[in-house]
Amino acid sequence: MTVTKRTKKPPAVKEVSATDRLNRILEDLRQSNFSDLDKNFVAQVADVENRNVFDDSRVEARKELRQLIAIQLQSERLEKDEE
Amino acid sequence: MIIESIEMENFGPYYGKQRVQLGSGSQPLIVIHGENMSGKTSFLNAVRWALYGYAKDRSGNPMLIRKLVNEDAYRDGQRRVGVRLFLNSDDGEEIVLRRQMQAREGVVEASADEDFEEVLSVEVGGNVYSQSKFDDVVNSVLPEGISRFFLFDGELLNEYEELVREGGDVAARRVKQSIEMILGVPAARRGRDDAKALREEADKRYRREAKKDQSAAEAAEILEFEVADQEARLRDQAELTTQLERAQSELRGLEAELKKYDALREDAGKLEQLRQSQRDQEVRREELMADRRLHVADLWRDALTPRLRHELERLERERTSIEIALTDLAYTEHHLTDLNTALKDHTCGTCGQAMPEESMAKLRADLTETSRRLEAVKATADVGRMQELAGTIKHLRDIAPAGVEHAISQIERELGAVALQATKNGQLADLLVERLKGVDDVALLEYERRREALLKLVAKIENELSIKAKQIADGETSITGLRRKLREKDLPALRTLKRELEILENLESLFEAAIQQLIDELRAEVEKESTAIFRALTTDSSYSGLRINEMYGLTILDKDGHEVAVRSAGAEQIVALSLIGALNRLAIRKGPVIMDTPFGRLDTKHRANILRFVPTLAEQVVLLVHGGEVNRERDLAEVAARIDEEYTIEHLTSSRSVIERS
Repeated sequence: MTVTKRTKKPPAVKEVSATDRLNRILEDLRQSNFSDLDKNFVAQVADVENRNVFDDSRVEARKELRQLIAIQLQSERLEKDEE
Repeated sequence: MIIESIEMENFGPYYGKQRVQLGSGSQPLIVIHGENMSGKTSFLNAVRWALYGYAKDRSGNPMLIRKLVNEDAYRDGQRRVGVRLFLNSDDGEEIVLRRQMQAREGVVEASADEDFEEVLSVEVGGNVYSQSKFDDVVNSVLPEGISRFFLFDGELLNEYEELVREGGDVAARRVKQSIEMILGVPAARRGRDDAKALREEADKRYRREAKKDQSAAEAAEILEFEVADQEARLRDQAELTTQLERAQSELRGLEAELKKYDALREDAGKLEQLRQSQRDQEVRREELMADRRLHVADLWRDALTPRLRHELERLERERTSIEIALTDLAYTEHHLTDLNTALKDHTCGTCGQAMPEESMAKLRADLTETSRRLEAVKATADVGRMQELAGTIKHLRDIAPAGVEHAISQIERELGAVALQATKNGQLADLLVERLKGVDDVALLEYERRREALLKLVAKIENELSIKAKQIADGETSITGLRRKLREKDLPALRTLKRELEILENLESLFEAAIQQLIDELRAEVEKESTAIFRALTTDSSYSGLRINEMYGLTILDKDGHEVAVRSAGAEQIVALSLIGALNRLAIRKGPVIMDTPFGRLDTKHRANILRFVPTLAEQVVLLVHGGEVNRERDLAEVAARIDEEYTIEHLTSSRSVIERS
């Protein structure tokens, strides 16, 4: 194979982070709806969805989400225990 | 991601293996020149086929594999076609994708797609992966759902025009879906759907666990039944929706067929009118021919007129001379009688006096002269001849000019016009007959009958669906109530599960609320970006910008902010490019843009504007252009510094082209 490794150069056009946009919207909604969901947890979910947006099977995405929820539940339990 | 190079083997007009280096990525533009039919679209198709396994013909339909295999290669026994793409991801990772189709062993004449066997290979960062990973890798670099904005051909423009229509057709909805996908809207939708799926899973677990607790078992059981009923209703709804889609799809097909018949029916009507007109023309032609025959019978008189006139004049002259001779004869005879009487009586015939000898001698001399003249006049004064002449002259005068020459030339002119019209009508009739060939009235009736049946079926399913939707809504209310009741019970063992459900419900509603907000925000961004691009590209200063509709269709605004109703094909292309530019800027995945003949509808000024804009469109832009749309020296001079590579497709024979560095 004759392909040479390319040095990553700065993009020619303004990059728009879809994750940032969705995160901002979700955060605004979270605050206005007085949701008790953790801000970081919601951001992590949005990140999973953005990374797996083109995966129709949803297997990987849901696996990651289950893990996130398990971690979230565990951290809530720990917080409660500490209280 | 950029395409480092592409290697085509027996693909379309490219015989054998041909590898094209598509730049180092130091400059964005790669220009490939090629005249029509040389292999520009095949190049675009090679990339599309390597990634997604299909190539499109000029009508946008998928091409048979056999059509992709180079004709010369196939004849030489190389019954395979392949493309290898060497990609470089944004992380600098090397990706090699290879797709090959080889005629199966034992197949004598490979024609159907099934006669070929597919071989895929994928390498990422030097690691070889199994074929099953091929689509995953493609999805990670350039998902098919958004490929239309990277692999750009004329079809995209047509699809784009559909977008401008509110509530457009299926194709427009598909483009809308692709646009939302490239913008990342599915992340919000999938967030909601994933949360819902996980919530349903957790809910099931909760019910199952609750049934183990005596205080909650009954409520859990009832909820379980209700959920089972609801699931059955949802299955029914899905089944009905499938039936509806199927019926509607068949209906659309039938409508399209019937539309063709409508056009044919119109043709049949036109043909009947033509036939009548042809019959009328035939009648008129016969009348004119009869008229002409009538006039032609007299035409010889018109032809003889000059000679007749000449002959009549001659005969008239002869008759006049005979008449003069006859008068002269009568006078001479009378004079001779007078002379004889005077000589006999020696007296003057006038005064009755005796005549002297001298006068008598003069009379004798006069008598001699008169007798001689009488003889001479008698020779001319031929009464018989004069009667003959009178008869001939009368006869010739009867043969007067008919004056039919002018009438005949008028008839000829009308006959010519009738013949010309008949030829035109004949050609049109032939065309209509050709179009009407194969029209099957029985099939038409069957189509109409089937359409009626389908319309009834669609109405019936829609009614059932609306009933089902009501049942589902009622079921949902009931389930929500039952679920609340069950959750109100304090079940220590299920506290974590209960919290999990709360989290998932919250997530579901949060993402649900985010969808429309994300769409609205992105739509506004697309409008803003495309307006900025449009203003840079357009040469018409009276345009102030673009307005976006629900389908992401863009309309041009004038200085007062009013929509410009009519726009030219060129303006249409500028708007499409503005949208594509905006989408590429806002896209959640960046990729190389390959544009096939993108300047076709544009004038020089627009072309120059777009050429300046194109390098900003993506990290890598491959332009496939022909001499008629881009002039190497004149048009590319301004962007020369942004060109990484320049190639020319040399069209050697009808089945062989080579791509060479310019």
